Amino acid sequence: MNSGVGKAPLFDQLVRYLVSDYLVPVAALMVLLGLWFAGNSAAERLRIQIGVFVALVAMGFSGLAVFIITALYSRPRPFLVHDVELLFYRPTDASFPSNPVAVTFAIAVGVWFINRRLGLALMALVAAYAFARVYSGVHYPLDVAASMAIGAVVALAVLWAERLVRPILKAAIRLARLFCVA
Amino acid sequence: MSEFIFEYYVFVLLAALGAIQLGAVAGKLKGLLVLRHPAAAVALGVVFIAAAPVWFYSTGERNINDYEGGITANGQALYAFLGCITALVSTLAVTSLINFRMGRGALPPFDGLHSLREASYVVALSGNLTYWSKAWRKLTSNYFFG
Repeated sequence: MNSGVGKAPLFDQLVRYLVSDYLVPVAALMVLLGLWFAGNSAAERLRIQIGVFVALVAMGFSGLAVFIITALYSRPRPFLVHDVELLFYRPTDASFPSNPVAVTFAIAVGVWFINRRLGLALMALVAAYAFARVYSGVHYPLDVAASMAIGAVVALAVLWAERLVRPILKAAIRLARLFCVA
Repeated sequence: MSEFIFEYYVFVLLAALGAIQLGAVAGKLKGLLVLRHPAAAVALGVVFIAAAPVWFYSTGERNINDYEGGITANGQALYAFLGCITALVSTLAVTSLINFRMGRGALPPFDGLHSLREASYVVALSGNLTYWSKAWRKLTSNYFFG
């Protein structure tokens, strides 16, 4: 995938923006922030806010899962092994799995449970982000594919576990309602 | 705080101001709107969300490693949180001033964000706290565990 670098400078520039550590993760967080205020009834608002909580916790646990995997298995970055045209800085951590892709995909799956269309749009954006990470030479395709799977599995696990702590969550949201922020 | 971190914080702050406006329109929370007309509020939100990355990426090189002046993953999460909190507090303060006359009648207590459909934040909050202070003993058990 990286062999296309240099053939279309405009596309390469677009990828440089997309592959950044900041653009897609912040976009995913802004979707969650906007969703927090959406909802046309108290019940719908509660459902959405629990969904936002699930997405945020899934984000945290995906990062933890990536941390554990990289501690057990360290795959060198493509630019250390192959002749690669880099469009990004040289990360010093392991290639497998991709932390930013895993956490943003976990958020996207969380959003999908709140709003299908928005979730799919965010998944498409994360897929483009994953492509950009491979195209720019910092990951192998398997790294980002596995990261998406990790994000999805963790989000599903958090969604299942949420039922166990729902009374505490509801109490927290009710406390926030007292201050008109939930 | 380094210049890069400050710029990242401003980037998140601007985007969050826009996201809150779009969310408020979706939730019909008139008390949170900076501009009264929903279409104008959507336009304002879109402008903020679009301006944030344009400004951030046009003012310097952003693909920088952590140890060369970039931000670590934990730092990103922290400053993103601070940016979102700042945006929320700013929105609540500004819209409380702009929409001060909204909802100065009887509001149902403990309606949360829903009360911002009819009232400004400061009016809704003071209504809640007044009600709470009068009946907190009875309400505590019913409200949280009832």
